[in-house]
Amino acid sequence: MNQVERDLHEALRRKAAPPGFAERVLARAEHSRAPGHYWGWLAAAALVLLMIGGIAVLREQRREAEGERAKKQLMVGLQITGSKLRDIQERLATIQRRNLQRSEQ
Amino acid sequence: MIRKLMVAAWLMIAGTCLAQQLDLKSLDKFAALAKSKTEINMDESMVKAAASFLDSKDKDQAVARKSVSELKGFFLRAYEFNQKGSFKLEDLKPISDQLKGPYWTPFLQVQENNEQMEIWMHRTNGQMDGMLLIAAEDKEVVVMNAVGVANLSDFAAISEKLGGVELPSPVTNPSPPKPAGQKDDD
Repeated sequence: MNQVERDLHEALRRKAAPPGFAERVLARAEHSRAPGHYWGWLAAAALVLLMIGGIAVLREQRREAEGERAKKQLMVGLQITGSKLRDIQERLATIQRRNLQRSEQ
Repeated sequence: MIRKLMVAAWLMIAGTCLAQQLDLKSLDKFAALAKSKTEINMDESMVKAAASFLDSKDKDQAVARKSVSELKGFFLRAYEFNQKGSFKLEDLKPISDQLKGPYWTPFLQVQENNEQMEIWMHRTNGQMDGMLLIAAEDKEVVVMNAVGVANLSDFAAISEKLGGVELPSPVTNPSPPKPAGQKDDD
């Protein structure tokens, strides 16, 4: 073994880590990971809330559209009915007048 | 499983019958012949939904809201034709046949020339719970079944405000002439 080999051997010799090294590494890793971790959850929660809110808004819009449509339908139906009831009364009045004239003659 | 399906089907049929009081399907064939048509099928939930959107500040809508407050269904067929003869009074026979049962009593019937106007009341256990209006002539037919109408004054309001005038009194024969000197209220 020449000098170079001895130096290399010495340099690559296994050394024990200084005390507390592992804890410090783990703590730093945890510290650097935490914010990203929470932001991910926050983003997911916001997305879920957004979806729930969106669905609620869409449902409300749909309910309103259906209600308005039903209202228009009902009003048209009531107008037709009201108009026919009026026709019936007019017809009755005509018959009554005619019979009255006949009885007077 | 089959029994459950049969029960479900029976309940659906029973529900439909209860809701509608009258089968108007015989009129469906006129939709294709009509110049204009209005077909309305509203069960109780739809009537309630529609009523909740009626604006009480609007006079017509306020009247409508009051009139439909007891309604449990509203079914209407209105067809208008271009040509005479597209519709005949005989075409109402399937409807008239259904009125022969114990639940329907005529309130008013006017038939003249080729026109027919009728109002029928539906009663369950002696209590009025529905109304049928038939108005047919050469070029037009309207059949309306209002389920849940407990008295005619409910509907008198719509004829006043939405149709023009009050509901007629329940007579088919005109009253005898008034004694001389007595003024007519009209």
